[in-house]
Amino acid sequence: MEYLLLTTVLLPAAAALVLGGNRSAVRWWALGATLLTLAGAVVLVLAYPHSDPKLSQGFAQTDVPWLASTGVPMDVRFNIALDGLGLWLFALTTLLTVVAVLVSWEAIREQEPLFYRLLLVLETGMLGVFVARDIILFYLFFEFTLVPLFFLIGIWGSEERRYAAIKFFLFTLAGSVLTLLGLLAIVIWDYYHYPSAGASAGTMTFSIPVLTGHLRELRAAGLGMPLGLQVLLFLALFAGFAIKVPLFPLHTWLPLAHVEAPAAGSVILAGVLLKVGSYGFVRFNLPMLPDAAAWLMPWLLWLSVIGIVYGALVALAQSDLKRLIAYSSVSHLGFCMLGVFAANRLAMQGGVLQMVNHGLSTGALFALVGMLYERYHTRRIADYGGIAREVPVLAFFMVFVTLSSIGLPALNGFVGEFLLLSGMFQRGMAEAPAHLAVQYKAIAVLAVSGVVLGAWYMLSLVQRVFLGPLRRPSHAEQPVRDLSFREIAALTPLAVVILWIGLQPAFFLDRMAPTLDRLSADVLHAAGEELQIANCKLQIDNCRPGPHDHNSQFAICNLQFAMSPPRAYPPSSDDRP
Amino acid sequence: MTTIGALLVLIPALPLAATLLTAVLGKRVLRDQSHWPTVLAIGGALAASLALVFAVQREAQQTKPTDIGYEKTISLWTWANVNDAYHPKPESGTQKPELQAPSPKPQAPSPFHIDIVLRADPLTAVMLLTVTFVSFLVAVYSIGYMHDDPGYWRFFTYISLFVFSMTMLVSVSNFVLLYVFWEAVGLCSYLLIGFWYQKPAAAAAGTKAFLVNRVGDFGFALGVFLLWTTYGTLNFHDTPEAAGILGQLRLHGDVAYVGGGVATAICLLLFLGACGKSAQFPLHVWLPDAMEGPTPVSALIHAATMVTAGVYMVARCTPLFMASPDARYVVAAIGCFTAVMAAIIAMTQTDLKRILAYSTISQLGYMFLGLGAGTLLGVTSAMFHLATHAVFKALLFLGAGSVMHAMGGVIDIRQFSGLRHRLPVTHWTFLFGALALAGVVPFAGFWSKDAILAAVAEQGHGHDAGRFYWALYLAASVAALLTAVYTFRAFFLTFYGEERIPPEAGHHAHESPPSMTGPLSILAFGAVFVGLYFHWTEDFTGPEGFLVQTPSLAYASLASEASEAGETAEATHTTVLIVSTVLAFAGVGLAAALYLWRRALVNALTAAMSGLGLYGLSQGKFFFDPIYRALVVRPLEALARLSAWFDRTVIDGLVNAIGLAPTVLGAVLRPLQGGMVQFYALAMVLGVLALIGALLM
Repeated sequence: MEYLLLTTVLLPAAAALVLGGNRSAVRWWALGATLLTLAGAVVLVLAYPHSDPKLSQGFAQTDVPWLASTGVPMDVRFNIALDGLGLWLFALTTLLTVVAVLVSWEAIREQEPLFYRLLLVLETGMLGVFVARDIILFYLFFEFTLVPLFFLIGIWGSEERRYAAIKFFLFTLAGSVLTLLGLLAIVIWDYYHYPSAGASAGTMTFSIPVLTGHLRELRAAGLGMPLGLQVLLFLALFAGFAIKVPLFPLHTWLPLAHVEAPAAGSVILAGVLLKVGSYGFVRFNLPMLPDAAAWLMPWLLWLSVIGIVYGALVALAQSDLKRLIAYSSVSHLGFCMLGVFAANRLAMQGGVLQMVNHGLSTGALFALVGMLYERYHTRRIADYGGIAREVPVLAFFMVFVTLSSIGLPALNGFVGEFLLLSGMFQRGMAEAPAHLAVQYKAIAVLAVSGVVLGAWYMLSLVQRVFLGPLRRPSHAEQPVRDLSFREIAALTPLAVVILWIGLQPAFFLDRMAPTLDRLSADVLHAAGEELQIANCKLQIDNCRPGPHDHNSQFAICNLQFAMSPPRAYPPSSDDRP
Repeated sequence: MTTIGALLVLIPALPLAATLLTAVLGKRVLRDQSHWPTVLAIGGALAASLALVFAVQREAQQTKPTDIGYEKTISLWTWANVNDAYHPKPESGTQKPELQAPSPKPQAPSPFHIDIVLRADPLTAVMLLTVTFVSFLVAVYSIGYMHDDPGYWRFFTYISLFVFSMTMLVSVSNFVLLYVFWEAVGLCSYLLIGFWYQKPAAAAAGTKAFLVNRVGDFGFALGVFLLWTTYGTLNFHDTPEAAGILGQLRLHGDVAYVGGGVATAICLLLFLGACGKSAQFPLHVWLPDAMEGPTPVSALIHAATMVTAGVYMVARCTPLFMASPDARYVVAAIGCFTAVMAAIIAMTQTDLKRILAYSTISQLGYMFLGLGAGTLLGVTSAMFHLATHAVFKALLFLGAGSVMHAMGGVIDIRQFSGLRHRLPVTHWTFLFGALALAGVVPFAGFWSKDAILAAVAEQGHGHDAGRFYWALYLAASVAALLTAVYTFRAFFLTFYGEERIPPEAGHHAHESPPSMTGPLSILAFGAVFVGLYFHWTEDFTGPEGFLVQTPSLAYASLASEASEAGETAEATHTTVLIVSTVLAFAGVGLAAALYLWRRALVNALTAAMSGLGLYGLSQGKFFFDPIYRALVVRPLEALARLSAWFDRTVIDGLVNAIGLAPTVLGAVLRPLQGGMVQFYALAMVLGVLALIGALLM
């Protein structure tokens, strides 16, 4: 299995290298490679041992020394593995890349080989981000995603593509440099503060799970990182991740990049790359800097909720299809981050599920807008009217995805929103310290009002473009075709997963829950949830790290409390079988 | 699986299968035979619902004496489960003192565990029977009504999807799924209102309905979240992990209900959701516009079934409302105000379907008035009215559809008259429906409306809020008078007077086909006898009746002390009975006098009312649409434009200013960019190498 993960991650990049042939052959090669990658991801998802507490934290691991040499006290490793946080984003990436290839099929008509090469390389970069277990490796993949997308926007974009590409590149690069500094500072702090003995003594570790474990142990022993430093480092990491997400007010690169990007670029950008930011928060900020996350919680929640409402309002005023959907992303990512920052079980699972949901629905929306653009050659909403009559199948998919995006129950968006809002309310009503309770309640109510606004701008978009009397833009091609088999094939898998998550979210939640519990346990403790820490402290001293503490397996055993059956507190006899 | 379980699954499964079948095969294979899956499936569901009612009745009689009411749940699969999600607060100061019993066990962290669970109890059984009965007749009627429509298969797909969602809504057993199907019926309503999506008015009406409902659902969702944070569960029934919100443990008092401000907040938020779905003030504005949909849809969704979901939900949550008298006052007041307001508006409308729409709003107001009375009689009579109203209002809408069908789509009562000879069956069946709506003895509406009025009047004395309820009773009686007037105004203007037929009618101006008149006749039969029958059997309102076996209602019957002695209640009932009868006859007589005898009187009355400002108020529909446009829509749109401007100039400007250095860098690099892709790649590689080098140092 470990080779399967490695193969799946590297397959697209390898395919990019050997890709060749004439223009139409290139498309088939790219499709084949992405489909194979998707197949690999499906096998990994099906084989993922979510009920096994140890294995599920580092599934299909490949862990080899990489940049280590004798005499240099650092241990940078090529270490990749799947866990509950990365699993679904990993699968989502492989699915959306197939969609991206399919929507580019006719739309890209120049330099096809280069286009598909970049797309495949980008896929490897994104997959790498979600499986990397080493900070340097993570950062490499993290930055690596920038380059192909920069070119995708800059070469195949529309009129303002260069400005958009440069703004996107510099904006995100500027933030991520600070992120790197923050991550390195954590490594160095750990190096000087974590007592180690034996073979690993004096080695600087870059392993994410090991670092997480160290920081947790130190914290449990009362020797954790001081709050001031934590906040400083939190802000450093925040710079890169918040720009990626994007959180208000760092979002202005996003509409520009979306509008100018080709359809495939928008699908990937909205579907996957924004999640890299939110993923970073869950992977690093919460478990490594829990006190800062708890201390900053009101601020972070306010930022998220402002993003929700503000993004929705700005979306309401847009006259360009892609800008509207881009601002809807700002709003929806606000929901994801609200869940992540509220950090209790419900909110966390809802927030992470919502990342996947947003990838599916907004990915599908951008694909649909691309299909519209191919037919009508305009993105102005006012140019359209009543085209459901001309393209009924496209209209069906559009309505379906819109309903998913506005959180209609029985589809995926509802599940995430409901869980994370329940969690947010719980934070406001039951768990908040008194002086914050009012703020949290206000945040929760405002967030729910974002759901109403979301329905408004999306439904009026559908109404203006698809319903009413037929009004066709003057430069539409004649006659307008409805969706082709290829386009339906691109959208159907997304629709199926959208419905699946809506009907049986338990399948998805069960696989992410143990990991998320583990990652958020310390934040919850820091936020004053005594029950969690009661469970936590019971077992934290049972496992000391072993002498060869390089891979995650050992570090994991610190954290088994999350996997043990939930403890009734205080214990009662008839609670559980 | 037991019989009841099998029936419970079968009832929604049949329409769902029909939905899928029609959606897949409708366009290419079934074409003008697309109605068959839907009609057969709903017919099957109707038969199953009947069987379910009898099965529940039989089982309920064997209920253990320790149980409060009868309920049975079957669990299909787990929807979501988050372990250890809820940690109860240590202190429990807000509990209602009289219900505070020593808890059998300390409260453990409870999971967020939502299963797909269906439940059977009398309330569900009654709702299922009502829904499938009306749906079946409407589906048959639609065969004739929709026969030439290009979207024939689409129509039946939506209808069976709706029946699936609605049957699920009334049979699920937790608040999450209630919300799920609450939205699902809203979706069907959206799709069906906008069925003729090329019509701008229809498309706009669909969006409006969805959005206004979203505002209501905003409240509903907040209510559900508040329930979760208060009770740590969202199930109606008890589960091994937690005592359900409406489960036996709580009804017995083993686990307390929360009272005070929290209870009021929960109830009012849930009620806001009910206001949206059931078109109550201030969220009633979507329902009249929803008449843009095909008439069978108006009959089924916007009169008989979906709009009653709010009533069902409040009735289901009776124990919660028992914990908050303040919330009950609000429910009663809103219901009563809506009943009066919609009746006033209906007086002057000229679109036959909109008159019926306002009358639906008004009748739903009565139901909420009954619910707000807060006694067992109030709640059960609201459910009684829900059932009879479903029959006679579906009848009236289908009758209006028959008129519209014959008039070539014209529905303005100023453009036709004297149709009784052309449309004899429609005329007679409409008359029975109108008599039932007007509350003329012994037609269906009389008995149920009278029960509601009696429940309110009963609360009108010997009580803290006596005067309040007494005022509500008087207002509701006035509305009853208005109801009789506007109903018969529409009836007389349509079917009596000189025969006039609009040119649009063409050769259509004849009686509708049997597939339409058949359902009309069956519903007319119901409109005559259904009220009398159930009044006699006391299945709905009797203190020992079938409906009272529902756990929620059985609890209400335990908790509400008899507000007065039997004899006084008897006297009140008799008085109410007489007053209602007199008012109904007076209303019909007044309408006859105005529209059959002396039309001149209408103008005189109009002038008089204009002097009072009432006429303009009524014709302008109390000006809700312009007010909402000015106070809500416009400001929000302005705020949206302001935000967009702010985003473009201030935020992006600030970002650009901060990022001056990168921008300058960009400007420097820009000339290099054109063909120099390799340069960038090289730069990146160098950068990475430099980084690695720096780390290795």
